[in-house]
Amino acid sequence: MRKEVLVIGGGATGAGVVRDLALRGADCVLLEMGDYCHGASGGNHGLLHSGGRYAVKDPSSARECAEENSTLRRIAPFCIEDTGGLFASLPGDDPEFGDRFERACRETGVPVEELSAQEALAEEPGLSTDVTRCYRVPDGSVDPFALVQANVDDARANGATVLNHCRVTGMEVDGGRVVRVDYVNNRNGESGHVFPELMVNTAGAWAPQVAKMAGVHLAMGLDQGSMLVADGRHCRHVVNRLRPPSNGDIAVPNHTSTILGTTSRPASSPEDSGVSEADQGLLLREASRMLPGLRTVRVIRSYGGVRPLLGGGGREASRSFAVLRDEGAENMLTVSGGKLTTYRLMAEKVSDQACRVLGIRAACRTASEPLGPPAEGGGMSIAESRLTRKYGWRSRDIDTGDARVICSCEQVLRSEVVHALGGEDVLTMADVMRRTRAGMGYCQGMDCSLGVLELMVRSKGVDPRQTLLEFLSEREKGLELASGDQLRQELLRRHVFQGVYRLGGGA
Amino acid sequence: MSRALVIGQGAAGLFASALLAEKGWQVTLAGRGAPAAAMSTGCLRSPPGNWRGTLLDILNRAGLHSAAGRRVGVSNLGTLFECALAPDICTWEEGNGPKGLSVIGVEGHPSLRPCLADAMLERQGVRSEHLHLPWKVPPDVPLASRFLDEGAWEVLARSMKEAREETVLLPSLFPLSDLHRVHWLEGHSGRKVLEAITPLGIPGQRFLEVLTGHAMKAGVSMRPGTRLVSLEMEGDRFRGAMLTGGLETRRLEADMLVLATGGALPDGMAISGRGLADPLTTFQVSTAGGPLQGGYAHRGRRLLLPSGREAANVFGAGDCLARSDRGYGGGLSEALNDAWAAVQAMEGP
Repeated sequence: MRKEVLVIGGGATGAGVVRDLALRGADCVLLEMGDYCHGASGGNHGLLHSGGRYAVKDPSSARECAEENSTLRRIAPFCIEDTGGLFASLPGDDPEFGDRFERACRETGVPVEELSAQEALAEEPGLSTDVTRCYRVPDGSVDPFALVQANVDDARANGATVLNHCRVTGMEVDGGRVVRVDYVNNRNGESGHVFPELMVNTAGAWAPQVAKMAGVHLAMGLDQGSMLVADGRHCRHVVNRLRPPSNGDIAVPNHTSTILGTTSRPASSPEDSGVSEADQGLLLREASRMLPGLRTVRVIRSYGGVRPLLGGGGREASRSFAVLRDEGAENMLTVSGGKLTTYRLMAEKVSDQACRVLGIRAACRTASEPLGPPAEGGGMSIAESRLTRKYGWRSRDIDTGDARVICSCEQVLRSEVVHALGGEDVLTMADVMRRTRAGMGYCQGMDCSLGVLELMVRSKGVDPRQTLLEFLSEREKGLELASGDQLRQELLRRHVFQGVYRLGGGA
Repeated sequence: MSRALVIGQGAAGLFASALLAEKGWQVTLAGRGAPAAAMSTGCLRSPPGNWRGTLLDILNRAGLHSAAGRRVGVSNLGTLFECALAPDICTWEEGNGPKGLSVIGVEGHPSLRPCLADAMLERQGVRSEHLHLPWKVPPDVPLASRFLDEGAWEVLARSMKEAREETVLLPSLFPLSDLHRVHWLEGHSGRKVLEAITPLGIPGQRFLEVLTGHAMKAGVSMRPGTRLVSLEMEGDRFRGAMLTGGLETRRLEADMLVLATGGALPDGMAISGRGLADPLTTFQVSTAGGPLQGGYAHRGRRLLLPSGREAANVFGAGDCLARSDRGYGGGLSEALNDAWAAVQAMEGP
């Protein structure tokens, strides 16, 4: 296909770019090798940063976050929970850091308010009574899958073509320009070509690999971060440690769980996202210093993400971003660095450049055009609110008259799965899970996977064995470190799937 | 009369109790919770030992006609399932399988999903079809057996009559009390019933029901819902135990103890982090090979004390024992084998 713009990579940035350009009237296509949020856009906390975390050491990042925080609350209220955020210091933390934090927040435009220890405990009863200082900032939690899906939906509604499960396999470069990009659909094996005027590389941690196909060398720091999913919500707010960014500083209440994170180590490749036992121990230890209730929490699973950072990577690297262009392939723009919170801004900047190249005059509209409705208020019931949080406007299409529940851990309706399977880009059980949360709960799909599989066999005619095996191996990844009750659960799951059905575990 | 105390109401505990009672011991069986056998398929995957005849006898007398040998069945997912001893209603002798299968599910009884099982069977080269039963059941009723009233059984028989194949794969609808329905369905439909091999459902519970009935008939004194609190040891010899049933805690003296408390799955073994621990803090636990292989360290099923010496009159059986060959989905044969061997190793009363 001949297109004005080809976007490679369907994380938040790529989806943001294709939406932005589609709204400006550009003819675009996006190729994503896995499902949307395949990389760091799925492997993160789901934290809508206020900017507080970066205020002291990375002011430009903090400013970007502060601005985008309020923009996203405006345009995508459905997938954002206004939990608010607290920064709390504990005995042993530098008592002066709070002052620097407050000053830096004010300088970077992050709304900040100091709370007394008593006020902090009233606001957040799970907080350690040892808390020494505490600040309130407007952090929130965000569902990255819902956010990215909404961008994809809106891009499509504005004429863009968005293809997931399509991997770029090669490029033809002629006269310093990428003239042809080859891809293959991982699911059906069909191949295709795009002849783009302009290419935008938003492949995140994979961006150097994409650039290399165009003959361009790209230096990027890859940095792994680990996170744990703790069963249940253990705090009302996003709870951060008030100290210079370090490991195990953050707890984010998200949907039915609390996400604990994160760590930082150099990653050898974009796939090097594995979580070590040491990381798991450290995250639990540090998080339960802030929230003592976490000491006995059931950890459902662990997961990691690989951050694509500017320069060398690591804790010291800025969380800001850059748009790069190289003479080797002058019609390729590469986005490097950045964060989920600032995805829209990054998309705007790169789209501005793209439009200059293409001669498109239209201005960016993504800061004002809504992506979905609010998920609260307007007489919405709790059930409606839950559906809106996941599906935005599309929640109207779900048949709530059918009360059958398919995933009891996450209380997912059978009709939600039916609705998700109506999407042309929902091809695997994990695709269903990311959209509906079926299989994300503490049984990790033991209860619901046969139900979801049956619906997939009916509606898509997939090979049931392959489809289930693929899902099981994906789920098993996060359970290698299971302990306590989750280990018991995992033993049961393996007895059933590996033992009775002879599926998974290399069988 | 010599007294034996058996802890654990799963396959190993029930089998050991009955064998001991038959040998003339006065047996008390205490247990709580859901044993792993109740979550199992009720089929033995590894070949039985020389207790084969004894077990078949128990099963057949209870009306759950079973056979040993190379048996094959179909799981509720539609995968083929090989085993070594199983009820006739859910397995066939290897080589004597049905030519094809018609799959019928019951709406609201989601263990067998006809369309899914059909697709799975076809891909394994088994000719199959699936039919939908024109019968809706209330979604809040947990077990099909409870809501399948006379009318429903008739609808099911009529649907079976319409099946293309001679053999019909059904969900596990038959607890011990409803086994006669199999015969009735076959008589009214002219089709043969094949019950889907189903974990976490009726078949495992039914297997335990048979063993429980047998133990009671053998004269075992049953104390369900009872937890072992602590053991009284005199050197390497067990003397008595404290048992609690909630409100009441009692001391019970015995000449011999069989621990058949299960492994990590039914929480017979305590889990600490990613390792195992003895909830009684009395015996050695081996964790070599991880939680799946771990359990009580033993010598000839006599449990080892922290000193490394064998406890003189404490035996282990089933999943609570450390074992290097344990895989997923097995353990029933091993549990029964342990129970048999432990009883053989004991001197008669």
